[in-house]
Amino acid sequence: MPRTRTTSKRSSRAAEATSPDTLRVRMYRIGFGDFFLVTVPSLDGPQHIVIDCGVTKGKSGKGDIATIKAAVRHMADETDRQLALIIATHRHQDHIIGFSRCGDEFSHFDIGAVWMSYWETEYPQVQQFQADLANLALGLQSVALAGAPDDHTAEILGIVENATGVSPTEGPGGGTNAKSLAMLKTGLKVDPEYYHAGQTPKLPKGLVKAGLEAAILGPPPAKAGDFLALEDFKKQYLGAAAGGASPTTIMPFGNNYIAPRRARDYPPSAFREWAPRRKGQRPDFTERHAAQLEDAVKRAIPESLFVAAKKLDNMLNNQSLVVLFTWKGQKLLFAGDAQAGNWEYWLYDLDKRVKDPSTLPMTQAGKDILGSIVFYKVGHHGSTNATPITAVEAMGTDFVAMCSTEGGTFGSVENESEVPRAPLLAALATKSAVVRSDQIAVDVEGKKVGAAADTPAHPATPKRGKFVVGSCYIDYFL
Amino acid sequence: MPQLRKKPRARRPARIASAARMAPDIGEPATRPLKAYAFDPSQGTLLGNQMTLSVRYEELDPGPVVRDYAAWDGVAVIDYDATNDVYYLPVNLDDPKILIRGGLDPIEADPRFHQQMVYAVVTETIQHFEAALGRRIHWRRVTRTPGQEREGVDGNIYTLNLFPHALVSANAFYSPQAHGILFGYFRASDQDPGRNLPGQVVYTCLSHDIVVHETTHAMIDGIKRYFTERTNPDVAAFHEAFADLAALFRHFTHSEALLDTIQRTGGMLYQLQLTPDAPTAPGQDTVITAQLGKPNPLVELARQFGEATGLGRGLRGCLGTRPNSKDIETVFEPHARGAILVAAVFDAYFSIYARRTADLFRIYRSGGGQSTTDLPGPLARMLADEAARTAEIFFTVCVRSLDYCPPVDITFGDFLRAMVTADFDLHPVDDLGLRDALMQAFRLRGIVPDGSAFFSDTAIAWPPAVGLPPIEGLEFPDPNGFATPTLQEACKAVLRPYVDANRRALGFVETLPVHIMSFHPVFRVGQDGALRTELVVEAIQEQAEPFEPGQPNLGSFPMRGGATIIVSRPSPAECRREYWEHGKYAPSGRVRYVIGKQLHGEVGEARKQRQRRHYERLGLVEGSDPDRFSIDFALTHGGF
Repeated sequence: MPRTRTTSKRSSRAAEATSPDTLRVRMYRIGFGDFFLVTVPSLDGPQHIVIDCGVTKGKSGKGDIATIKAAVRHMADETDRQLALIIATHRHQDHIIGFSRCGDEFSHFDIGAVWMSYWETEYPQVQQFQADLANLALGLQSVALAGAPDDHTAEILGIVENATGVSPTEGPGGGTNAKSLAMLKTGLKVDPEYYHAGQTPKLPKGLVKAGLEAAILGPPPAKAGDFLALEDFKKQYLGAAAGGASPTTIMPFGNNYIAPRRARDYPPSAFREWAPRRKGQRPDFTERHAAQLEDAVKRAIPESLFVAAKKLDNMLNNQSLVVLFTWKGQKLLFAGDAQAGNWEYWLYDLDKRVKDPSTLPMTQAGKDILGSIVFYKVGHHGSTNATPITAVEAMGTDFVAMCSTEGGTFGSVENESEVPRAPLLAALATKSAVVRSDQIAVDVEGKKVGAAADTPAHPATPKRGKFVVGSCYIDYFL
Repeated sequence: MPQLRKKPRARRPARIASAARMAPDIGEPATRPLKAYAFDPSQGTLLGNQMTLSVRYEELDPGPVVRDYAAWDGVAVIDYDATNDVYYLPVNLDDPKILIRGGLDPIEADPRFHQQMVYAVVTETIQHFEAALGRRIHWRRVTRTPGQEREGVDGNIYTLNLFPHALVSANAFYSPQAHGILFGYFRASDQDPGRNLPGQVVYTCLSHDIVVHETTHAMIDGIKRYFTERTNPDVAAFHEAFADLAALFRHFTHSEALLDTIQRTGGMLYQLQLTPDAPTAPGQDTVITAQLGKPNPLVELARQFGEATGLGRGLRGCLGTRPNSKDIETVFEPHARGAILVAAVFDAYFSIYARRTADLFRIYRSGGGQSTTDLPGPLARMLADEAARTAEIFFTVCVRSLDYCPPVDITFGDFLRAMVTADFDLHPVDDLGLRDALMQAFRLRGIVPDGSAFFSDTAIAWPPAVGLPPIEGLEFPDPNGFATPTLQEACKAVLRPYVDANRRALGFVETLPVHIMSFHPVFRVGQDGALRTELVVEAIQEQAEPFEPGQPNLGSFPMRGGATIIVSRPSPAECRREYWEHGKYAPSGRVRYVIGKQLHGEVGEARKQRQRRHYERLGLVEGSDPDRFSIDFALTHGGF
């Protein structure tokens, strides 16, 4: 059922973009997630590309500012529901949830092409891999929920929710990653194309006519090793859960073997390792330091789950489709959430034979690309793992960096893991004009969200082009 | 460092005490017999799978817990289950009912047998290692900056804690935070459990291989503090490889399994399959169990674990990869990369075994024997002896070479150099052909050392130190080691100024302080039968290196340089000569090797670059936790 269109509004907005020689990158502020609209001018009118549409609550639960539906409606009006191309970089909630949460909206779009990561192909091996990853995430969720509610558990749950799109408690707005993937693969009346590094993508005609070129830099093609890594991973963390048994249901021995007096059934000498020590003094070995021991053993365990969740996160991020657009000789890099493994595939010539590949120099092609970009979509909402320092080093000094993020969602300043990472943005700011989505206030459809604290009041001034702030977005005109 | 052990004297009633004074003391037993699985419960009772270990006698409390708090290589078994938050009752190995049986019989359903087995296997592993090393070990020691005092429970491990059923997980790992080893238990796969029942509980603490592997991790961490700092892709792989080597070489000390395997492989120990007990007639199917071929138990690790997790085989093996020089460039998962090193060492081992037994086979064949069939008993025994002896030599070389490794940033190439040097130092004449076999096997797998000009043993061995003055005033400790803290302090007081004064010659940066991290004596009997006393000193320097030069606020990582300095005691003839020529003798030490990793110069820059890239690849740029650069064994373990 076609909707009535608000033509008057649209024409005024469209006017901004239809300037014949200005390319526009619009970053919507939807919270912790990516939602980009790239508009390329052409003689047939503006051609629109949506790159990702998602948001996640994150560890703090504050990542989702609940503006994504309004933003999608805004985008629908803006583009007249005509998209030349949708790119879904990878299957994380903060990149795709919008496609199911706003599924009704998207189902009325006219879409030229959908590009997805090679890791979304329907090959059985790849499908199995992704299904296993999803199961693993669910398993992690159940193990983490069974544990004590601490800082790590909150982070694990945040990561896992991002991986599955399923929240243990009902999230705002609805939608799941699985529904979003179904929507992208079968619900948009166009078959997606799946790409990996080195392939030449098929750009829709409208974009070709507009003079746009595209190259795929990531993800790396699947190798047997990747699947093996997952095998190991599963065994390590969820051996127990994999068999269908909940990890808490095994009692390995009969009740008559359980020590009724707990630590007091052991001699004090069993606990001497945990006696406080002072130089030159003989420690007190007569006490049973059972609490310290139990605490140490417990702490040794959830840590592993935490890193498991992190690894899962990395695995999914590394599946990111990395696209390099070239328009009138100017290069725009959209890196999704690619992390080290994805970057190094195209930055370093891994086929070159050396004894220790960690010493490889960056390839000339990699240097050329990074040295000449005019636009960089900051990877993974500004985390350091997603923008390797060697890459920052190789980037030129004359580009715009857009970072879609929501401070205080993941990580913490105390342990230098906050996202976005302040020193990374500072390093980028020395070379480029950086703008982050949470530095603008949102006022759309009656919903108001203030700018994040400690962010600059005005976007930096780029050396070329300009930034324009809108009701729920910020535009970069190139 | 070993300590004199003081036995707490038990109080006895006066009357008995006077009677005891008259009778001669029976004396302490040397060993304590304890039963354990030779492999794991899934192997049944065949092949001597239920074995008795003679572990050194120690006074034990229930647990078992080594009673002597002053023993620095002591262990305590505490059966605390964190998943279920319960303790299981401890075993009292001094219970007469257990003593008279020679230890509890193997039984999966009783945690007390598990506790006994963990204690027995860990102690056996320590003994084996200490015998090869030539000294008593200690557990992890953290480096403290001068002036930093111990407070509360510190990072040192004094007594290694062993938790046989710590968690529900198909995993077992050494955790410095928990001051010990956590063993998991889990349900076997429902679909493909191998020789286990579907869904049965599998205990990692009952796998001999897993226990040896984890104990080895803890021991290496005690010996080489910074081998857990993963500064390059080889570091974590080295830890895994070494732990696997220890577990695999132990198989060849198990005479029953060895003999059986020799007979079933026609003496070709490296075969992956054993000949079945009963032949299958040509053109017919196998109909009974005895006709089924079995995998060779000596060359694979942790069969039950592998099968229970659905692998259908042992978790890892010593001959898992075909020799090629490509893997070393493309394989980074620590176990898989470690397997390259393991395969190289075992390639050399089996080559030497084949060479040393070639004559026996020639004699056998000239008498009409065929080596593919069952071998006669006496021949099998001779082969088994040879296999066991060669395994012992290899294991000893591997362990001793730890003393010849640089203190930081180990690579496989360094380990090859260390092995060649360790062997060269003791056996200048390579009559076994061991060094040559090692070099060829490593080269075949693309492992070549940095910085050696030729591919010969003398070029691959570390170059002897030249031009360094003797260490004046250095007193060497006696074979019991530094028995008292005073002796230890005295030695340090001599070493510290020496290292400081010779920074440049020892390969250190002159502007940074040098910390003496450890020093310990080693006593070895050389090929000529003479006892050689040496001191192995490890000194390091460190500095914070920014991830991006010029951007220190983007984070930094600790970059360490260091040197292992091997100092020898002058021979009696040298001492006499000095006395006669100079009228007096002052104690001193001669620096024989400086095995270093530099922080400065071209080499230092290349190392920094490599480390930076490696951390970036591991995603370690983020965060402020200094522990993130260390191996987390709970996570690197593909199972264990």
